[in-house]
Amino acid sequence: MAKTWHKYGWLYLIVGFIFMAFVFVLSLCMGQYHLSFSEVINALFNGDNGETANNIIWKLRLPRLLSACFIGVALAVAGIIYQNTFQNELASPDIIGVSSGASVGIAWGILIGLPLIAISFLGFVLGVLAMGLTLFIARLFKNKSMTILIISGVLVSGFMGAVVSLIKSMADADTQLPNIVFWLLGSFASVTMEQTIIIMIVVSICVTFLYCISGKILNNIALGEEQARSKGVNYKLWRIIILGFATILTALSVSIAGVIGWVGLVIPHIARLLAGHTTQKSIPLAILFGGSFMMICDTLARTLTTSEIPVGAITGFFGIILFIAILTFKKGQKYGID
Amino acid sequence: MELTDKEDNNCLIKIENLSFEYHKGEPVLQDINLEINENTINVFLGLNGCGKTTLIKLIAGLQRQTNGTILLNNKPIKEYSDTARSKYIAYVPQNTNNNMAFTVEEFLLLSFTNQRNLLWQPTTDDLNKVKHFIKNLDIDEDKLQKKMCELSGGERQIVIIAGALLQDAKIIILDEPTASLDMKNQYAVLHFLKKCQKENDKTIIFTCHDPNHALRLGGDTIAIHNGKILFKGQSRDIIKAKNLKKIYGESVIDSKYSQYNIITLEDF
Repeated sequence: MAKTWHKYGWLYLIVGFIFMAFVFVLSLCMGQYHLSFSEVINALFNGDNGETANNIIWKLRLPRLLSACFIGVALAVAGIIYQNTFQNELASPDIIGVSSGASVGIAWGILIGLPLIAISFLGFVLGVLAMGLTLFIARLFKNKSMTILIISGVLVSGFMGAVVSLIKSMADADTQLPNIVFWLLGSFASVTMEQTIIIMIVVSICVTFLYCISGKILNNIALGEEQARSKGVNYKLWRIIILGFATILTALSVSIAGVIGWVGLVIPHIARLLAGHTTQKSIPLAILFGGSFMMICDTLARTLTTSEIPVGAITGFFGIILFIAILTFKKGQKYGID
Repeated sequence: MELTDKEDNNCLIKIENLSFEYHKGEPVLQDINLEINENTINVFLGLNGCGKTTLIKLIAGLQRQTNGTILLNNKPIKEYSDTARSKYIAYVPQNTNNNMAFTVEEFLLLSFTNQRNLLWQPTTDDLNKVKHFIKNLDIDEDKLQKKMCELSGGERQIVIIAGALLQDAKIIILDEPTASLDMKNQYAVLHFLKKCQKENDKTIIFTCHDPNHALRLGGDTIAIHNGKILFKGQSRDIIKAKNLKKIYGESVIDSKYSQYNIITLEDF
């Protein structure tokens, strides 16, 4: 499929964009209070003018949907960056340490009774620190291969997971523990408008920057240190920069919406299946599919049953099915897990 | 008529008292003193593990020496940024079993990296340059859409060499470029390296296992033995049976192995 990008690349992007817009509007229609297509369009253009439909859209559904969309984009692009940099297609925000580190921050914040903003902030900081820890541990090994980085990520994730379990055991079973568990399961239900705006700004800046340097920097990083340096890219410097951006995207997502897995792993595979491995082609598709996928999952999370299902469960379920579908599709092609 | 003497060529790389070790007390290279002149072909010969690859990586600026100086254009090589150095030196590694998932076209376009600004995305102009270039190396245009990992080891090597040549650096450093190539491709690569030196004013440095290649291309040969330079000079002078014995060991030339040797001196 990547081979047809030459002729049909623009078509993939346009179709992807239309699909995303469609998912966006349809998601706004759905819910306990069902709205029609025209009501949604009307509300979007006329703002929050006091009518019920507009109220629902602007106060309830839009902030949530926008944060879901942008976090889907953030995780998908972070996944592309990690898989590109570590030269390993199983690298993802989930296993590299960031998500688990942020989980510790969140659990700890709830345990010591911090306000909401402080909990998110603590989650963010510990997520970034966990990534630093992964890189630090990897450097302790003399072996410079990429596998060591993955192993370090797994070690750090495991350790952070153990810390979370410890915190859970210390938490008050009636009030704190359910909070911790539900937050960590991932949900967009309690995302505020302020948080949504932060997400939109930060994700837009990070993703735009990463796309801008995709042609010159990202593709060369994928060649490894020796070849990147031979072609003129300061590998050590740029690797830290791009991992920093990917980690910010991931830590932000987890600190606001909890741990939502599989998006950062599977969406990059889909993007590369259609567009090939060069990042200037795969990142736009990751944006469109990541956003759409997350919006679909979030809408299902709030509409499938009368109570909220954690969105992490939905992304897990569909993400794994998608991944198996991709692997099956690739089996017919000439090359291996690439 | 002006005769351009070899000594008149600019000295591009000057190595003084170079030594290198991975672990303390186990020197890989010692007392290396070398000059690489502009527009020359330089071949490094030696046994496996003698330090050839390490030496050319040091010359390429991809490794830091333990002691000694390496000057590129009279400036220490470690003072060059990666971008600045890449305009002088392009490096082709030996190992191509890296599972590169880029297509040939995508990979070759990356050769323009050091000539473009930060926001660069490949253009049709760049692509046309690539297409024009690969005609010289006998690479079919339909190969462009194949993934690097789909090519055979030898085909992939040719593409990576093409990438280094496309980079337009003055010095091309290759680690055993002909190692996995069939005879036709070996000659194609050697012929192209010679052409680059003569017509495009490139300086070629490569390690090699076949003294025949060194003889065919002319230029200079540097023989490494146990991390030290054993011989250096013009290929025609260095590559003689008695010297090869010292480099590779007695058994290579005499007795039961001698029947397998075909060492001839032919103009290329």
